[in-house]
Amino acid sequence: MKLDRRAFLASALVPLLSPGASLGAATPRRGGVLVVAADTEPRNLNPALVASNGVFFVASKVVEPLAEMAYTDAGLEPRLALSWEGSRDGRSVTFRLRPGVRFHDGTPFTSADVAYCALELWKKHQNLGRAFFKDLEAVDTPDPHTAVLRFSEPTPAQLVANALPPLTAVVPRRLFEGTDPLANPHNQKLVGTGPFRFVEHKPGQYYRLERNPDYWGAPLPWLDGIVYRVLPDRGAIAAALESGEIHLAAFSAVPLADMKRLASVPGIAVIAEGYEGITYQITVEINHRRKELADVRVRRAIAHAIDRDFVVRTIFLGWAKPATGPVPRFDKAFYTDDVPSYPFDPARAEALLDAAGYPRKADGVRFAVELMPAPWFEQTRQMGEYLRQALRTIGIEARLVLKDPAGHQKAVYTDHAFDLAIGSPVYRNDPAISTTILYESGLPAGVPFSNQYGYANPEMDRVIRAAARALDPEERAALYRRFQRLAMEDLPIVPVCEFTFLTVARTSVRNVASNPRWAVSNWADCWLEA
Amino acid sequence: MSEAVFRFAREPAACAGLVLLFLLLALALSAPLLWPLDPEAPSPAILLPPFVEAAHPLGTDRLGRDLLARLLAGARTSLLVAAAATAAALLAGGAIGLLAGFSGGFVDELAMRLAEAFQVVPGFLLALALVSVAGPGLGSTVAAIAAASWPAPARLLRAEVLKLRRADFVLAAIAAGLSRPEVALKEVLPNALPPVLPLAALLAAAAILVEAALAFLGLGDPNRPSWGAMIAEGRAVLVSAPWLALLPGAALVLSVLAVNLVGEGLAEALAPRRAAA
Repeated sequence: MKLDRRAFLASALVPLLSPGASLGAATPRRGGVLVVAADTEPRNLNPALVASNGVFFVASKVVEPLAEMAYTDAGLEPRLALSWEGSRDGRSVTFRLRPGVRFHDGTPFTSADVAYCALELWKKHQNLGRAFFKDLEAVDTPDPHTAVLRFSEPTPAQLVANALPPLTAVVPRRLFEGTDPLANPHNQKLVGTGPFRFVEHKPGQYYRLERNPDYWGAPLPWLDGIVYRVLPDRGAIAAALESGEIHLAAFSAVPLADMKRLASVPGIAVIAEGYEGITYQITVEINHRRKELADVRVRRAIAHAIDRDFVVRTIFLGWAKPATGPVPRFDKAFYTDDVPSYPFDPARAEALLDAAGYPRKADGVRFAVELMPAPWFEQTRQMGEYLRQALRTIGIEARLVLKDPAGHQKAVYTDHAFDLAIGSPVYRNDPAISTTILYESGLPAGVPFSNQYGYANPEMDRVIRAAARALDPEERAALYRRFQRLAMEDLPIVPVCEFTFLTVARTSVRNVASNPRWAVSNWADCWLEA
Repeated sequence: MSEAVFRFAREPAACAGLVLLFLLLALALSAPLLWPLDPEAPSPAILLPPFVEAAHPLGTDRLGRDLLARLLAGARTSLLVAAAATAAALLAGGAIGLLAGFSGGFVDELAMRLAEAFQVVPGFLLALALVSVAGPGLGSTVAAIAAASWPAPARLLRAEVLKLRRADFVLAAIAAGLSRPEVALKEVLPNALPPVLPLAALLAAAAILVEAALAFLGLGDPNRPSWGAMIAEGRAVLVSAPWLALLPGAALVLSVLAVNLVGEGLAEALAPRRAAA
């Protein structure tokens, strides 16, 4: 199997061109257990409570959302909801639910389950839902297959639709009502409506899922089951793939530097699609409480010091694109490149720093900062090492400070004890879900992955608030274009590049990357060649 | 003394170790002159294998940084940490051992129970715990290694002091009217030192390993290259770019071997009974 990176990048919009999902005329085959690598074992596996990709990777096969992303013009495909429609005043969205669906414990799925999850789980406890559903007042259930979400403030139906895939996993009300949801045993022993049933989790070893014979989407799923082998060692994952011990490793679990070699191994394919709906960015987070960094000229100088092409070519080995702003290119509805840009230009950076009143001192240093790369990705750490050198060339001395994940999150988002940090925010299909929160002011300390940078611009806040209430999609898009321009003018944080993950799979695995959130979707249509 | 030097020189292994150690020290100290490339400077030539391009004779890593420059900088880190941690452990442990041996009684009891309390915890685990609390950095690495290794010199020195305390020349010095601190520092300490030298070498070898292990686990100073951290980085791409882990691994083996050989040679040379046989 030959790998052509350029072909991959060019085929971003034609997902099925990748070798792993080649357009064979083959008909799907029933049977076979898919073995995939897992590198984390979340303590709470319930996607209705914890909306994170680590949880979804396993849980999305068992517990389904109301809708899933799709490579179609509509962008969405029905799951538990057949259709959704917003009212003219923007205060309610009516969902028609799929009839005849049963949970794995045999009880029927009805609007009461949606109402319970929305009000008691998503709104009260879910990390993303707490902010997103804060205006959700009530859920009417006129009949078992209709649920009407009612909001106290106008809420764009487009935004609600965009939030469906990550935020609306439905678990049975019967098992959760009257309990402390966070301590419920079914946060581990999942019960949902999905194509696979949860069988067991042996900590440190594996998760095992089996085919749900009563799935509403029959004859799907094709697979008899899925086993997630816990393999925390990245070197071991590549070896397990080559020996055929596992079929698939998602989320770039194999080091990027190994991809080229693996792609040339017969029977193995590297697939770049299937992650567009969860595009990540590498950003430089800036603490505006530091006097020097509060000056926009200094922030622009930092942006000019970064060679984005170099970052893409070396740290990401080409598997990324330079970022132009807070919204990634994949989002055709909101993306604009009509924003101020900061090309790599160290001389200009130095001129900006001189103008800002920070000349090089006798030792060649203008001022010193502490730089804290997020520890979760190899690329965030490497970006930290790169940025330290890039800053050194323009006279800013950066000292790297590495912490464990919990310590890093506390230092940056609670204690504000950093000068610069390397972050990796996720863009989830709509700027209002997890992106504008990085720019709006007035958030309490301790909200992870939010503006804890001390940045406040009333105009920015106004645009963000207006866009969150704008019912007309055209008006929303215009406001978000304005948001992107403001974000790049003020540069409270510096977007460096956008990246998605890679899947490495045996070529016998078919229908890989069949939607833009493939790794965290239900895999009902995935099948194994005999 | 000259006899000891002669005995040392007769041990081929010890001499080999000494040559290797000198070579390492010379390379580490002259690195900025010898190979002035910045070990932290990234370049577009990433993952270059060794012996392919003259500009990067040992190849480059994931960010295109020169591996030779990083190995030499890693040697500086390694040897600096080893020297500083050993010196700190010897000074602290020596002082405590000397004090305990001379004072006896309650002070001795206290010092020895304290040393035992440190010794029952495996040295590496203790260093790991201390660094996790204090945060990664050069200073905390040195302090943690020293804290984990002071009991050995303390106990050794105390034993020597107890042995020498009743020696004739010490009694003579006391009779001559020297104060206790004077006796301790001028008469006892110099005579108690010979067995400390080989111990120092062993401590230094252990310190090199602990520093590398801490850095391997991501608890080293992120601001300077370390062999341990380089091995950790290289491990992820062991199949695609084996040199990234193998070269710093080899450097680590060689330097620990050199220091150990020197230590053993010293122990042989300075042990009077075995030498007399």
